[in-house]
Amino acid sequence: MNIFLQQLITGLSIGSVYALLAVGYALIYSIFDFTNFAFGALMMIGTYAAFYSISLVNFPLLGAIIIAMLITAVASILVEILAYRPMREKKASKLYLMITAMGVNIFIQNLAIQTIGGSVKAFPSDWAKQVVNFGIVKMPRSDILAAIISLAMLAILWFFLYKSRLGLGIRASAYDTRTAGLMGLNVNIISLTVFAISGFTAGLSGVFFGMKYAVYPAMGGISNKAFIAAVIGGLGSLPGAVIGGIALGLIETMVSAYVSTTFRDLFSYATLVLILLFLPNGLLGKNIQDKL
Amino acid sequence: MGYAKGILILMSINIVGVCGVIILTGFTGLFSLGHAGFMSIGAYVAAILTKYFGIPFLLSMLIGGLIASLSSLIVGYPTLRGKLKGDYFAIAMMGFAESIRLLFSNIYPYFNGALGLSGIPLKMNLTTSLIICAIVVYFTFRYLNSQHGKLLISIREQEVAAELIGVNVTKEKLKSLLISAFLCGISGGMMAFYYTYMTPNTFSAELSNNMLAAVVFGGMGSISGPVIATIILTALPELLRAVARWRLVIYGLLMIIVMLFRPEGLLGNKEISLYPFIKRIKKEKKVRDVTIKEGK
Amino acid sequence: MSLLEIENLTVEFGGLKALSNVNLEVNEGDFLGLIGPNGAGKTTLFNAITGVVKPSDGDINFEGKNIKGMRPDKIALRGISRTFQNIRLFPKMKASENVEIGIIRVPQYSIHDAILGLPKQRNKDKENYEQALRHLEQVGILEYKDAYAGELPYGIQRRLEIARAIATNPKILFLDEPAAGMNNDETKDLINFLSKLHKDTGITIVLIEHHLDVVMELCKNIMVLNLGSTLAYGNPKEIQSNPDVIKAYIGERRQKTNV
Repeated sequence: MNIFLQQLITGLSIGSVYALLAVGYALIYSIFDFTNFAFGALMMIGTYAAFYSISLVNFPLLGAIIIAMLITAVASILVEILAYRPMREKKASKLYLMITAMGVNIFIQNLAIQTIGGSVKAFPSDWAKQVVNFGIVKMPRSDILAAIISLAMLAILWFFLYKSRLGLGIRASAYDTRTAGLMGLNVNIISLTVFAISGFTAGLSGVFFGMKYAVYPAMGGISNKAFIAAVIGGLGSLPGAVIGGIALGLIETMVSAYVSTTFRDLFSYATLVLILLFLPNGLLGKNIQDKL
Repeated sequence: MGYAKGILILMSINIVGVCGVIILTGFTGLFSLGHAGFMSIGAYVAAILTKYFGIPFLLSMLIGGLIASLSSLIVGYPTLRGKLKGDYFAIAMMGFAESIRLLFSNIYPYFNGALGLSGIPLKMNLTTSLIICAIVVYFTFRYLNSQHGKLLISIREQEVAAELIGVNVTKEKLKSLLISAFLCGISGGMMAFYYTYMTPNTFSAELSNNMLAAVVFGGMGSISGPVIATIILTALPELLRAVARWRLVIYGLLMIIVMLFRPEGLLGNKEISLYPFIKRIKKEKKVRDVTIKEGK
Repeated sequence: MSLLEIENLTVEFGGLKALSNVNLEVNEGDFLGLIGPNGAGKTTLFNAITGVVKPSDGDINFEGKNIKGMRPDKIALRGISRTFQNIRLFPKMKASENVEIGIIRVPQYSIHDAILGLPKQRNKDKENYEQALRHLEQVGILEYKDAYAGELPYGIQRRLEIARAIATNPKILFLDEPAAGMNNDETKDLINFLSKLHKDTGITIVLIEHHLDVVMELCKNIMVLNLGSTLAYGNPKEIQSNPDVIKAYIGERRQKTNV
């Protein structure tokens, strides 16, 4: 029972980070209708930003987290302005947008390998590694911090997207890009906001993955989990991304505990295939029709 | 001379794999980042059959290709039916290649886990690889220039219209995926019999990215373009060591630049053909004949 | 027996009824006009018949067979063809190839025929190409046969789409605003072309069109949709003098001037 409880809490912790990452991915997907394959590379940038602000400049952990979020948001906006927006303005097909995104991903990841080296480094925070004993369950501080901040960030995002005027405009453009224009909102401002938010989520979750696992240039591969979580929840649905992320976190920790750590990721991919077979629109996905 | 030979063999192996990506991405318009997974399956099946069971290597490669082809249904069937968007296929393909890598790293009988297989008989000499490559390129060319290929382009260009005209979009996509995975499986088999050693990590995302780069640079909807791109991309890092290290950085950047400024790549939707040359030579000959006659 | 029979057709989107209880009968050789204000459900009706959207209720019988819920490609193969409000050609294929897709639809020879380059393939390809040229000529755009569809002028694209639809040899042809974006001359050409096509081939046509004069001139019968239901049905004269129709249209105009 204790083991189960322990896994449940660990699962919720990692699940909330997946949820955050999945929301950042799904937000862009729901508005621009393409998969931002550069998402993982952006996440990696955030992790390194936090890593160096602690190891080189001795920043406190929270300061490093904020730096990571800011730098990732800037990188995310740069990618949007330099690569995606010109593609959209040319009315490029979705396939070409995906290829561009993959090009960005390959470029950033390999640039990191060539400049800072491909080695795997431990996240330089001793505070985060300490384990807190709650009696029945024990948790490293990093997991607690990850869960609290991720959930807080999700709450802030919810508030922003569902209660503010700009947020409403963003959600409206997910249905129809013209609606936002009718509301008097500038489409460019919406796109910048969306990519900034997406960058925040990527940078933040990158720091938590760095703490939990390690820091290395290829760590962007973890973003595959965000894609899977979003598909489980229903591509394009934000609440779906949250539910999918938490579900995926739980599945993974349970599989690690009761089946095998090696095959953890295999179960994630198998879940993806099963969902696609039996619930192709995900748990909360809407069946979006191509407009004729 | 052995060095040049090696490069030529590598070129033919890569061209065979790239033909698979040409069919799927260049013509059908499906974005895949997991073709290394099919190569891995083709390579392992072929190597195991020949190494442990003594099956002739050509037959093993064929079986490897067929099994790779069948395995593509795991991803293809759930994601290509109905009206699921291309993102689902792309994400599932990434997961598929990663799953194959994980799986093969943890199977010990025959597969030897993460250590991989060594002592695979060396079978891929220059002649064999060139012949296989030529057959595959010819096959790809005939397939894509027939009405089968035209249907694939129509799906890439405007899927809804193709379906409402009466094209069975799911079936045509699945056919092209099966053939594409088969060719990548064959390419993997060739690799196994050339390297004689491999691990699950031989078939990494980098390999898929290389093939995608060749198709993007060479041009979507073209066969000769990506084939030429493959030849250049294989030779360059071998000849220029300085390029080798920064290769993927350059590929990534070039991919963005091509998409932004020249989405048709080297030869998008066109082919290099010898026909205009032949025509010109004939014309010149005619002109010469005429002038000779007049001169008389 | 009528060619197409629609009974109590209802289409819902998220609880909102885009079409409710629509009934319609189209007989062989008819030229039916479908008009109505924006958002009346005209295109939705086309989408429901061609299988793009799934009706929540009702039946669609085509040649006595219920085609409701069938896959769009299966419906098309039964002899239903259409064009689109916003043109959907294959932009990076030549005009002739666009039409060829309409002729081919289901591969006519196998992949190994193609690989071996058997005469079967060569003859079939040649036959299709020649037929495609005939269709291009039929709609009067043969000179553009080698141009990429995406690079053609707008009016030519509209015609090419009709040529592609005709190439499927349909029993019934649905045209969704074929005159949209055309100037007066082009519209006149189109009217002449459609009436000639109808006379020559006897093909059944259903036409959505905003230019009422086009509909009045071409169609034998007209159905008026408003807010997802049938408002009126009759010949052009009856429709023109129908008070409900006049009200609906004047209402729309008033709305437009207000915006």
